[in-house]
This record gives sequence, C-alpha cells and structure tokens, in this order.
Amino acid sequence: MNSNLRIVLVLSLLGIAVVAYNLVNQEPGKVSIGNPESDKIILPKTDGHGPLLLKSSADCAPCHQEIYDEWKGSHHEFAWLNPEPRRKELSNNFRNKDCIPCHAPRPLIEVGYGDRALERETRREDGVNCFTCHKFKNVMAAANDLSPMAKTAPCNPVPWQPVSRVMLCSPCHDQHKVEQDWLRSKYSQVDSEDYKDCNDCHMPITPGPGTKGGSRKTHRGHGFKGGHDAGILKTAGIVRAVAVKEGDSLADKIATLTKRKWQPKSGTTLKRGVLIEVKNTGTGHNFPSDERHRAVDLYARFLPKNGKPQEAVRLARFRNPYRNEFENINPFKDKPNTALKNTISWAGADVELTQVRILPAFNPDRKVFYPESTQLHAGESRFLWFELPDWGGGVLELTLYYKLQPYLSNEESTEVGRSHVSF
Amino acid sequence: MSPSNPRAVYFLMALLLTLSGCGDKSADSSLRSNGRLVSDPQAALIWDETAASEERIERMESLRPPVSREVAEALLYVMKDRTQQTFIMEPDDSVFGYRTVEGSFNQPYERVDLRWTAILAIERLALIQALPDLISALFDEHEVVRHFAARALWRFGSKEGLPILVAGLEGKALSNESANRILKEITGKDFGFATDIGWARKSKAIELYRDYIKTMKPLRPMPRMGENADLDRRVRYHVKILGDHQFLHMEKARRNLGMLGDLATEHIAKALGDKDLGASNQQLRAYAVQALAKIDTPKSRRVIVEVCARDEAPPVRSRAALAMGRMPRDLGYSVLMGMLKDSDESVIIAATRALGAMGGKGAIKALEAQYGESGRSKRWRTMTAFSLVRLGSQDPQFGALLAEIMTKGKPYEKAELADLLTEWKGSTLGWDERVSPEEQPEAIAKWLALFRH
Repeated sequence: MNSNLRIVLVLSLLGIAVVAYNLVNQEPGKVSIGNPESDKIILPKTDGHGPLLLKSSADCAPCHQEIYDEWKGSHHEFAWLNPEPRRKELSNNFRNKDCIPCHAPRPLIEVGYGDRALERETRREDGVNCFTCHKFKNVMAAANDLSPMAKTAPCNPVPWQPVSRVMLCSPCHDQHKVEQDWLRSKYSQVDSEDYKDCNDCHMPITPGPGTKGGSRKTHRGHGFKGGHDAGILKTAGIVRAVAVKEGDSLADKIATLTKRKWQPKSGTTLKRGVLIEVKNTGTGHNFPSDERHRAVDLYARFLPKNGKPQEAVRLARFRNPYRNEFENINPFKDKPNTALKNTISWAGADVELTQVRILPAFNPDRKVFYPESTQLHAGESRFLWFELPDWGGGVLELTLYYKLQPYLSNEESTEVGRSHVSF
Repeated sequence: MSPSNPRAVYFLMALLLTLSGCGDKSADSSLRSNGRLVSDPQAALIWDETAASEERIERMESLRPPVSREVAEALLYVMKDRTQQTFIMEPDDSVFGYRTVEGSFNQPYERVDLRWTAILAIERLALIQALPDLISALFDEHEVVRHFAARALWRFGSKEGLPILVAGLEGKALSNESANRILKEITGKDFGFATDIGWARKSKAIELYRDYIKTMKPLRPMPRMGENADLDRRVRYHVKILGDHQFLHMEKARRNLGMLGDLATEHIAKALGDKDLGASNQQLRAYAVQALAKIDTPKSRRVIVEVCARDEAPPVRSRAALAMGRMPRDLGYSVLMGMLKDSDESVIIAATRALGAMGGKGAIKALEAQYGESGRSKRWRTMTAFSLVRLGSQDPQFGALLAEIMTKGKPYEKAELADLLTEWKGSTLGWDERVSPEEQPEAIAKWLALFRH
C-alpha cells in the first residue's frame, strides 16, 4: 500500500469517525416537545372504516361483557366520581381544572400518544373509559390480532400493539415519575426473566376470551387493581424482624438477610434488641408509589406477658412528602448505606433507633427524582434496630400499614404485613 | 504514518486535535462547582454550595456590570434555590438551551438570604432575562423575597408585583415593613402606613395603596421579543414547557407566561406557527390559549380569535371559545356563533357557555334551536339551558332543568352549576352545593326565582 493510499484510508476512517460522533451526539440538538418517543410511533390505520357508531363505554358491553364488568367499579371508571380527589384540599370538586385531564381524559392516542392527557367535556362520569385507551378517530385500537368477527364489529377494531405499552399509562401515572421509577428497576429490562410492565400486575392475564364468541382462552383483566386493593398490597412489601442478643453481629445478620455485603462504620452492637427489615419485594416502582398522598407506616407495640399491651408507636414512614411537609424530608438524602440515629419516645422510655438504607441490588446508583422522598425503590430494604427497654418478657408486634392519605389512622388503612418477635 | 510526508502528518494531527475538541464541549472550562463546569470564577463561587453563605452573598453583592452569562445563570439558579418552585431551568446544549430539573426544597426559610441577595444583584445588574423567574419569585414562601422580586419587576417594566406588595402590608411585621418601605420607594407616596398604628388606620392606608397602584403607569416599557437573546431563550423555554410531560411544570410556566404580557404573546404566537417550537404539540397549543387569555391584551385576543379558534384539535378550540366569552362582543361573537356548528360536542359546550356570558339576540335564537337536538349529552343540554336563562330566555323549561340539578342533581353536576352561577352573579347567593336542599330552602328559593325571571 503506498503512502497516499494509506492517507486516503486513514482520512476515510476519520471521516467515518466524525460522522459517527455527530450521530451519537445529535441528541442535544434534537427538538423535544412532549414525549420524544411519540414521533417514532406509526398511528393506527383508519382507512377503509366508516364512522364509529359507539357513544359510550356501555356500547362496548354487548361484545365485551367480561371486560366491561371488570372496568365497571374499577378506579378507572371511578376516576371522575371518586370523592377522594374531589376533596377541598385536593381538586376542590375539580374546580382545579388541571386535575380533569387525568380524571376524564380524551382519547389518549388522539391527543398525542405518550403526551400529557387532555380533558373531555362529555360523559365525564365514565372516568377513564374504553375510549380513553382504545379510540383513535373512527377506529378502536386492539392489542392483539383480530378474529374474523372483527370485520363486522361496530367498533371498527384495528390491531395496534402500542395500545398495551407503558406509554399509554404514563401520561397520567408518570406525573410523579412512576414510569421513571420502573425504568430504573430490574423489571424494565426487556430481555431479562424479571421483565414485567404495568400490565403484568395491574392488568393480569384472566380466564375467558374477553370478546363474545372469541376463541382466545384468556384476556387482560381491566380491573386495574393497585393501591386500593388489599390483595395486591399484601404482595407489595414485607416486614420481618429478628431478636438480637448480646454478641450478635448486626452486620452479619443484615448481610444474611440481604445476601449482600454491608460493612457499617459503627453502632451495630446491641445487648438485647430487635432488627427489623422493611423491603419493597413486589412493587415494580417505588413503594408507596409516587402518588404524593400515599404513605406506608411501620408501627410497633410491645405486648408484655403480664400487663396490658402498649400503645402502638410509629417507627418509620415511607413516602414522598408534600412540599410543605418538612418534618418528613428524607434523612438519608445522599447517605445511602449509612446508619442514622434518632431518639423516639416510647411508653415513657427514650429509645435510640438506628436506620440504614440498603439500596436495591439492581441499579443501586439509580437517579433519585425526589431527594426528599423516603419511598422504597423496587428491591430496596430499610433496616431499623434498637435496644429494647427493660420491659420484661413479651412479644414485639410490628405492622406495616398502607395509607391512601398520610393523616389517616391505622384503623382507616390497609395492613400490608405483620411480624412478631418474642423476648 | 509515513514520516516522509510531513504535510499529511500535520494535517492529520490538526484533524485529530479538532476531533478531540469535539468530544469535550467544555474543554476550555477549568472549574467544577456544584456539579457544573464553569469557566468564570465568579460564577463558580456563586454556584458553590459548599462555600459559606456569607462568602456567596459577599460575592453576589460585589458584582458589577457587565457580568458573564455564566454569572447570570448562577444568579438565576440561586434566586430559586430551596424554594417551592416545581422546576428550575438548567442551562444545557439543547436547541432550547435549557433542561428542566426539579427544584430541591428544605426548611422553609433555608437560603432565603441567598435568594434575596441574588434578586438584588439581578436588579442592580439589570439582568432582564430574569423576568420570568422574578414572576416565579413573587410566589416564594418568604415575604421579603417576594417583595424584592416585585421591586425588580417594577424596575424592569412590569406591574405584576405591585398587588403582591400591597398584600404584604397585611402580613406580620417583617412582611408589612418591607412591603411598605418598597411601596413608598416605588410610588413616592406615604399613606401613613406603620406596623403599630392599629388595623383601622392600616386598612385605610392599604386601600389607598390599592387604588393608587391601579393608576400607576409602568416605569418603562416591557422588553419585546428580539431585544434580549437570553430573555427570549428563557421565555421560549417556558412556552415549550406548556407541552411537556409534567403538568406541575406546565402550571407554573403557564402562570409565568400569563403575567409576562405581550412579550409572552409574541413568543406563543411564534411557537403556534413553528413545528420546531411546538406547533404540532396539542398540549402546548391548548395551554397556550389559557396563557393568552390571562395576558388579555388586544394582541393576545387576536391570536386567540385568529389562530387558536381555528385549531384542528377540539381541546384548543374549546379553550379558545371560553376565552372569547370574556372578550368584547365585537371580537369573538361571529366566531362563537360558528362554533355552535362544530363537529366536536366539547367545542359546542364551550361556545354555548361563552355565548351565555357574552350575550346577543342571535345567540338566544341559536341556543333555543340547539336545545331541541336529539342524541346530545346531559351536560350539553344543561349548559344550553344555563346560557339561555342567563341571556333572559322566557321559556320555563330551561329554568326547570337548572332547578332540578340544583335540588336533585349528582354532586358533580351541582359543583359545575355552582361555578356557572358564580360566574353569572359573582357568588352562589348562599347556596352550597355540598349541603342538602332541605337545609337551605331560602338560598334555593332565591335561585328558583332568578331561573323564572
């Protein structure tokens, strides 16, 4: 190879490198308004279909009775009528008009797939209805292939797989970064065995064809169970505790429970105490989710062998606080894996409580959207330990409560888990 | 590489050097402060969260014009640091020049002194690119920050902060003293307000201030689009946020734009006609209408009537209809009448409501005809009945429908009726939609009489 040819070759390679560099780095210059992903989606085909004859979700029932019944009574159907968001301090009976887009949304594909929702003016009492997710102009988008019956169906169904993607949920449910939390969890890894998206938990596979006369054996449930459902909450997280006696190594116990090495700097020896773990075991996003009104509380009470049970004491609260809720800001901010101490007053005794946050094994250095939040990321554990005051023998009862609003009492809340330790 | 061909070697070396420069856009930056690369040492210290507050304050107080863009950006950040703002604009390399980050917050009064020092520096240095951010600062949780922001806005040509100052007179000593001092300075008037003169005299002084600020002419005209590139960039980014994912960000951006006057109108109008600035985003267009309605100048009204009312998306048209209902009749009447034949029912509902507020004989006739249409929703029918009652139609069936909703309607129907009645008469005349009809017969009787004329 002569030298001129080599120069040409090297210059060509450099030229390719320049082009490649520019391709890789073009993102900062890209215009992005709304959801940048929405530009890449090919919308459902509307050609060859007449006008859509359906007026309301009830019109879908004759062919999709099972699905209609699941939706009827769900929190999607209830979104507009639900008194909870109508409370004065929240939407004030929807006088805060900016709440309406997610509680009575127009068809999401029409207002921009993946973009923020916009409100509709009619049939708001249907809440988040069939049209919200499926309607696009004169057709209804279906997640699966169509059966031969579809040709004569009054809803003009067209197969369009993106209707089952996370981007259809995110316009409303990602307003507090729920989708972003999920994206940083192991459940979002498309090629992994752990992959699960919104549908897997909130629209589980349900027996029955879903369509009258349909040949499919199952369909996706349309009950959208979540924070209002005691069953699903019981799979969200756990609380467990072990007694600690003098000479036990807390670090070893934590390492055994988490199967991860954790080496504290100090403060990990107890004479007679308890080690508690609260873990997000089953939620693919933060627990509680990033809906700001939610809270998860860990309560403890001592049940002496002789004598009456103590009042329950709150040991920890997991939540993304309101912006004026300064007493709940995150003490762990920028200090993961660090043991923090605070003293609580408990049945006349001052109990020194130590807490440590053990980040999830998958993607532990994930971006934290709300530094003040004490929510548990998917897979994260929170350990708490303390020396038990001299209360004699008895049982320590630990209960994890899920609260739809942070000021609800335990009696008004849902129990997620309970654990007992004997002394 | 052949050493016998030095020209080729030099050429390639130059290419490689150029390429290596491409890889690091901050190659000339030498300081890292608070996670940012900056080249101006003054900016580095203002950013530096590890430095003592006194040191940062001293640095901000010692700034003299001209200052670099980096210093200006640092001041714009510090003036919002640890506030309840839901977004902060961080400079980056994107087309818009910024990205949105969540503002951190902590104890309510943390870094207050830094925030007001930054505002004082912005005012002294005449950094008018801070206009949208100063409007945000009018809603800071600390009164002194709010008041300094109001003064800076006044100096930059905006009256938007003056009501905040007058409201500050009703607060505790720190609030009313700082508001009074700034109001005296701005107005050149002393209405005898003092912290300890008793509420009767204080209220009188507050009323005098309230009346006086209405008569005040702005100190100088507000800047227009094209006068200051940095300001344009910031306003343009606010318009972009209208279409972004987070509605909490949208709310703040919409509020700020609505208080920026025709500077915002010009940017919004430009974005509505330019795909690269967001014209294809339905959310941006929809919330732009609300910002324009809040601006409420001849120019912003024209954009609503001529652009937004013709938009292809029903949510944009319906918002335009509602905005036109608050305009003088000669501007939107014929467009609203045309909207009664819109293909989308939501637009007809909005136009119906707007015509009820605007009035006009033609409107009564058209609405009476539309009431009889079959296959329409109850909300559509209710809105038509309400507008007809409001316009003085004598047909008793319209009042009867409203009376039925008032006494037997569903909670959400009653809530909307309460809003409509408030829009009509300024209040619900004692009717509470959350209380049962049996407990408030007098209030209901008052309305029934009005429905019957």
